[in-house]
Amino acid sequence: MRPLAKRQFLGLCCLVVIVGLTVIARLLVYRDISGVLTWEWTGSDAMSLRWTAVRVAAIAGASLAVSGVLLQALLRNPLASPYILGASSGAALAVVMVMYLQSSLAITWNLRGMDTMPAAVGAVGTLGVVYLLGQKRGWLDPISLVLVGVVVTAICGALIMFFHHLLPHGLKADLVTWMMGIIRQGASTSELIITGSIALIGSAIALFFGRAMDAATLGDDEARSIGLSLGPLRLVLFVVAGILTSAAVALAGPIGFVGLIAPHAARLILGPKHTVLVVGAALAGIALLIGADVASQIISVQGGRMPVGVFTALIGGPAFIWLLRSGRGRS
Amino acid sequence: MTSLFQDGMKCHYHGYRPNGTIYTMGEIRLIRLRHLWVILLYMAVMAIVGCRNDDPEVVNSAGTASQLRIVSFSPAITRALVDLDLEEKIVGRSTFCTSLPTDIPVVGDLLQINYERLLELQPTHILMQTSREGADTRLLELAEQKGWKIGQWSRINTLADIERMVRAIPDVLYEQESGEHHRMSDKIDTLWRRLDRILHAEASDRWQGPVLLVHHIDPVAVFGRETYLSDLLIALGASNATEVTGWQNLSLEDVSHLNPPAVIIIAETSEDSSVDPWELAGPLGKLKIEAVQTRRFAVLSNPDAWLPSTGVISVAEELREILHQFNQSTIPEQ
Repeated sequence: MRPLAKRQFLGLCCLVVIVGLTVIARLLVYRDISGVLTWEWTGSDAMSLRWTAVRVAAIAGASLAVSGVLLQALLRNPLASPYILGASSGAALAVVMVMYLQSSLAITWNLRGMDTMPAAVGAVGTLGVVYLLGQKRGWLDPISLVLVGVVVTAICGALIMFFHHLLPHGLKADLVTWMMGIIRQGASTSELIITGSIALIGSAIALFFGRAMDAATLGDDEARSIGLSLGPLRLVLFVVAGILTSAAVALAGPIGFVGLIAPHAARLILGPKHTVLVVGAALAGIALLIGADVASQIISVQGGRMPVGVFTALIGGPAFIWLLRSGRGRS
Repeated sequence: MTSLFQDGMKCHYHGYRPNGTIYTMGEIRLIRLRHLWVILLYMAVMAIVGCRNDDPEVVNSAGTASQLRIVSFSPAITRALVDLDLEEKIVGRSTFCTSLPTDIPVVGDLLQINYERLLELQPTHILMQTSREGADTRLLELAEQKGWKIGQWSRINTLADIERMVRAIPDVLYEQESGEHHRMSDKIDTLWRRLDRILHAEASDRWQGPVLLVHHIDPVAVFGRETYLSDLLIALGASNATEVTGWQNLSLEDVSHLNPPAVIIIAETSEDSSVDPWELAGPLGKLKIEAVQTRRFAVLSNPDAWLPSTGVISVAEELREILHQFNQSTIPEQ
């Protein structure tokens, strides 16, 4: 085994162990509403709910992390994240619009439409718009994509504020909670199967294109010189990243920083080769999100539960600044 | 006059006729006079439009009922004013005061006050719910300059807070010992007697156990203790199933551990009381908790349930009815 391969193998083993530890921690930890923290294996009902939380966190974490890897390769920008293309703001816009329609038309449906469907439709719809506007001479252009993504995100943000302004009081709080990201214990089996399948298939496609991504990150001329057609590759990466992000947002809301930090953490441990990086980033994403969920179980705030997005931002923000300052984020 | 000719070479009204010949001095004076008349006429029209007096008489602080011009920045206070028959005295409202007709102008909200509109409305009283820091400093300065009286409440969370807020309204609006003050206080007494009758009616036919008041399902968001709905529940003889205070998020596992024997879902959007609670409950309805097994599951679809105000009287009536229904529920035989 060559030194690099050995490092990768050890790194992957290390990530698997971390994932295992976070999963065990999540299955054991429970703080009741009076603040008493327990670490124990409990009855099947509670365990089933904890398993659901683990699966939601794993699917969302892996999807966001793999999506981050794809977008960083596609945009050739190590600071790109899944939300740069507007998927999360599109999803949030669709959710707030559905909430507004429900409240104004006096429809009571699944408690204010915090359903996965509007989020998924909103995310995919926004990505479609970004795709159409981000083309140059018929092919996706990385710079145009980023610019269009930023503008579409800003427009969606303005519309979210507009609909948020119109929402009744109680729904405003619900929207804010959803936008901070939640690991739902009540996700249905069908939701888990659909989003889980998307995460698996998306990761498999990303693995398949691993070597092509390695070449694509070198630069347009270098990629073409080794016979790589960049146009179709960018299209595939965009579509796969978009669908993975949409699935994650639909399942757990727009959780920040996972898609940015997990690829960098994996790159730090495993190196820049995308075939290994995809697997490593997925594991890092899973560990980060389950770890954040464990933190939200442990840290008590007035007896209630903090949204998991608060913890990913608290972990991811400083980590991001560290990467930026130390230069380790550069692939 | 020479300057007119010097810089007005191309303009016929600056010294040349359209055919190129020069105006006489008399003609120029006439033209300038005509322009002056037009300007004066325009100014007169603008002055008339600007000074059109459709503003009412402005009074300082406590006044009589006919002189009141109230701006409310709090939907809860607005709702109380409407129930106290003061709706016609409200000249400005917050964005969230939906209990008023939409033609009453919006003057912003607590965080973003539209001062220009506020000045236009010339209120006599401004009623608001403030944060811990109190009212906006600019607003206080303006109020002092203009003689507006400000009534502010820092916290309206519990039933006692609501009563305190409502009972203070006459003190803010009217002179102590005035006829209006007495009349308003009497109205408030009547409202509270009605609430007391609902809350303290014979309780033997009502459910008296713990109830979880849920307003969102996954994550589960609840009305904890020290909230007005929890207070209503306790006053009706039941208790709050959770020990958390205020509005909190819980996990489904927390609910499973709490094992509440009864659950009420507070729906906001619908006034349709026929909505199926099991459809709304989603994953909450699939938990193995006593409320599910005994089918003590209900929906309270009253928009007033979201407002800590006088609307709690109608909410109390609905809660009492639900607790009565809960009392009929029994654990089905396995």
